Amino acid sequence: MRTNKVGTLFRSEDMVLVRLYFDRAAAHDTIDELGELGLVQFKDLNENQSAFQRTFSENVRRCDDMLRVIRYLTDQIKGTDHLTLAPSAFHGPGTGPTFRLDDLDGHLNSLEHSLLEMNGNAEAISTQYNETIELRCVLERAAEFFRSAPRMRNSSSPSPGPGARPQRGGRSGLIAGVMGEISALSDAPTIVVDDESDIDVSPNAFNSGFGAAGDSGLRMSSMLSFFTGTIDREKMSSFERVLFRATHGNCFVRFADIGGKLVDPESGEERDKSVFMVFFSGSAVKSKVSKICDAFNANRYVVPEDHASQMTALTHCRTRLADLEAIMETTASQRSEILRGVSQQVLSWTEKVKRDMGIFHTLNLLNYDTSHQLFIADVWCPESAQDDVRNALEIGRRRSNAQVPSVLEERPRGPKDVPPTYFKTNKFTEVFQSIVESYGVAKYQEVNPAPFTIITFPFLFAVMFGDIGHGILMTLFAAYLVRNERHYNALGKRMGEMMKTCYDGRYVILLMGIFSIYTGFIYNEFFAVPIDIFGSRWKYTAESEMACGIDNCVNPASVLPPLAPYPLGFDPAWKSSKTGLIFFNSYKMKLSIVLGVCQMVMGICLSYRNAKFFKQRIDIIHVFIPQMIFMNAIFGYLVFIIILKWFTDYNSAECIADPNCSPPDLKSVLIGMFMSPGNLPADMVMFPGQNTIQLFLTIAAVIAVPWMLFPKPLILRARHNNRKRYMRLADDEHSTPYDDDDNGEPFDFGEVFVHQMIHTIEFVLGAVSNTASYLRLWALSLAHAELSDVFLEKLIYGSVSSGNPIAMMIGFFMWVGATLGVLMFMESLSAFLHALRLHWVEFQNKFYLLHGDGKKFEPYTHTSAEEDDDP
Amino acid sequence: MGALFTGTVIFLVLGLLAYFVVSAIYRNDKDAQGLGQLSVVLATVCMYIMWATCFLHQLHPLVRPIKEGAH
Repeated sequence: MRTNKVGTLFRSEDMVLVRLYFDRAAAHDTIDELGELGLVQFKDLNENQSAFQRTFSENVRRCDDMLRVIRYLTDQIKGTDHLTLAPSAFHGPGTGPTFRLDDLDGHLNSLEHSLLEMNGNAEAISTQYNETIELRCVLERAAEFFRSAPRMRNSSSPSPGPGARPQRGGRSGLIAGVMGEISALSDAPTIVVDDESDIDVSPNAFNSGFGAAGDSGLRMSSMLSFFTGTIDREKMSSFERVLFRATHGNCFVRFADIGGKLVDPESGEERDKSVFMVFFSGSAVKSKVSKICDAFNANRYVVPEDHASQMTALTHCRTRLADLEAIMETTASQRSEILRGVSQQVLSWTEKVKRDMGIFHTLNLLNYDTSHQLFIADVWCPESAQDDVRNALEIGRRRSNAQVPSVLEERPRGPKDVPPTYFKTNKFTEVFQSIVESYGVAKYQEVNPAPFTIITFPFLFAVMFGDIGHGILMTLFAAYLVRNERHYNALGKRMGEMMKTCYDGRYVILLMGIFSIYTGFIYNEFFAVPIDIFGSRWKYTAESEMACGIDNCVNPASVLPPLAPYPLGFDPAWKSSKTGLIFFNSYKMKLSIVLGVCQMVMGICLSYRNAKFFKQRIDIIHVFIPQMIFMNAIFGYLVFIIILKWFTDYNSAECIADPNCSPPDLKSVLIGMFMSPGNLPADMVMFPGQNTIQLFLTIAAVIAVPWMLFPKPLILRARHNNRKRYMRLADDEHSTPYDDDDNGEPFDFGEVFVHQMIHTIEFVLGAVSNTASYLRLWALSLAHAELSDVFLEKLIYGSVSSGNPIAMMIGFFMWVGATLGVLMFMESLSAFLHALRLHWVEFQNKFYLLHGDGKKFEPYTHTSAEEDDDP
Repeated sequence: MGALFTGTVIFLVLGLLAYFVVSAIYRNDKDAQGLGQLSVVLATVCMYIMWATCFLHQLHPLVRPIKEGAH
């Protein structure tokens, strides 16, 4: 049966190997059209060539380079205000700007060149500008400082200048004052600069004074000099301390604040800075101080010594700033003009280059027939899409006005040509397909578990997440995403990672939420509160601490259960009772086993469908049947006794009268069945003939193991030997050597046997461990119920019982936070992962024979080429 | 026991109804129809198992609710 009767998602599409021939001139447009169609996967016909040897590797490299330039331009645009990227002008093949790739390359290069130059210039200018600003600050502060400092100087030197010679007395007094302060500083353990010091430290005064060589009592005066500059404010105190220590206190430091921040010319960062002035004497100290300045990244500026030149320098400085500002403005406007032009087109360019790069990559996979100037491509495409491919070829040819018609020719599939697996999915099914394929891709035309996953996955999730309230929240969230599908689709990649994941999984989440509401009704939990829809069937009486059924309470002391139990889900009486947890656990464990066995048996049945589809009778008779027997003899029987125990009324009068009638422990029954076959203790009897049936099932399960193990490899070997015998006969008739069998591989019995052995062991051990693994359904559901219970109890009930309205408010908001953060987010994530595992391991390994080593169909599409290298 | 039977019938009826509704909705799309039918069957079976086991578990309970706070 080659036709897909039940829909394409059940089995992968029929694939055909097709050879395409097209003219060299039509190559570009043809590949473009095929990329637009997105239904062909190109086979690599140049596998023996490295990436560099291929014909179009140079073009690919150039495209790469152009993308680099485009990225540079985009970064430049993003760093500029008021510029946004205009959307791409491509709306399909043949649309969009019609420029040649070479022209674009040249244009991009010149753009990059001019931008780099402009940025370099702008940087140099801004460094100069920042330096000038710092210089201005230094000059202003220095002038201010010198002007305000000298009180004595006013009397001694009314007209300062290099030529002016202040009176000697004043001069010596001044120097002595400075030196005095310096020595005072050297005594002081902490350095405190007193702004109100009344000494004159004007360099004029110094220089004029020091200039007078031979002045009495001023031996070092000729060597006194100073540095001015700027330094980070946070480094001020350590700078001062280091200077003080390095010069043994023989220096004098002053700082002046700059209101506001300055841009550092070196790093281009905004910093808090101060102007400093250091006075010192001696050339040795000078070199020390200069090194310290460098070490502290202090920028030094030369300040003229007299007031007049200071003023001139300041004026110069201001004019220069104005000039620089003008230049900067012009450069910036030119640059943004260029970038504005680029921003209109850059996305179109990107798309164009990426498309062409994809096309060159594809062309590299093709053969070129030099004599006919034809390209030859081998492609996989779905059988149903052949006409579309033919159509695309024709459009491509017409677009490029090529004379030679393009040809499509179906090729026979060689023994090594394994067709890729292709499932046609839609927006609803794709997420389920990807859930399945994260584990492994089905082989070509192997049965696809995704359709089953659509229901079983959300359902198993819900078993672990059963709560009406939480289910409703989840459903609303998913419904919101589904409703605003168009909006989120348009957002595309701009959604956050987390949001994107949720959006991609919106339909799973929706189903998970809906099923959680249902399982919530069964567990009877609404935010951990049981709801009493149908009226509890239990009532507490004065006679006993235990409740009795409302319709069966003639003698309250006998505490008989209700004749008609609560119709949907658990009776609300259980939740608040002491025995509730035991009762729920017993149920959830049994439910896990029942669901698990059902799902695993379904998985084994799928392996039957595979075997039948590939016409492998051996696999049906010697793998599927013994597997079914083994699984059902043990765990099918377990499910049977679970159900039987539920049906048995151990409360009935007859049972109470009979000493042998007690509820058996099901685990012991199952273990005893294998440990002591044929020997059933009286307290484990559940139905007549149980001993015989158990003995029979044990024997069946034991026989099933060698049945799985031996026949298949032996039969395969016998078949192979037979075939070889025939082939030898054939060899005698025809002289041509024909050494391989029709599978194209030699037969290795050892390998086949080991493989079968692994498979058997895996199944037998797996049957036990997988069944146990389903108990995670119970564990997770218990954890969920207990957590929400604790949150409710502690945060809501606890705060309400305190009677304080503020505590109630806080408790409520904490409960909301815990519900959303812990239960809705973390707990749902863990339930999701466990459901995932149950599907990947426990379900899929029952029929994915080779653990899903199929090859996924990866058609060439423009979208995939566009998304490739986005970081 | 009567309730178990009634419940089973209800699930059966609802399942069949959903089956026919899905088949009718997707009558022009065989792929979607197959998927829909499978989903309805699986969902009905899963939900039925859940309900029926829960009902059976309470039919002949081996423990009784005990008042919280009692010894």
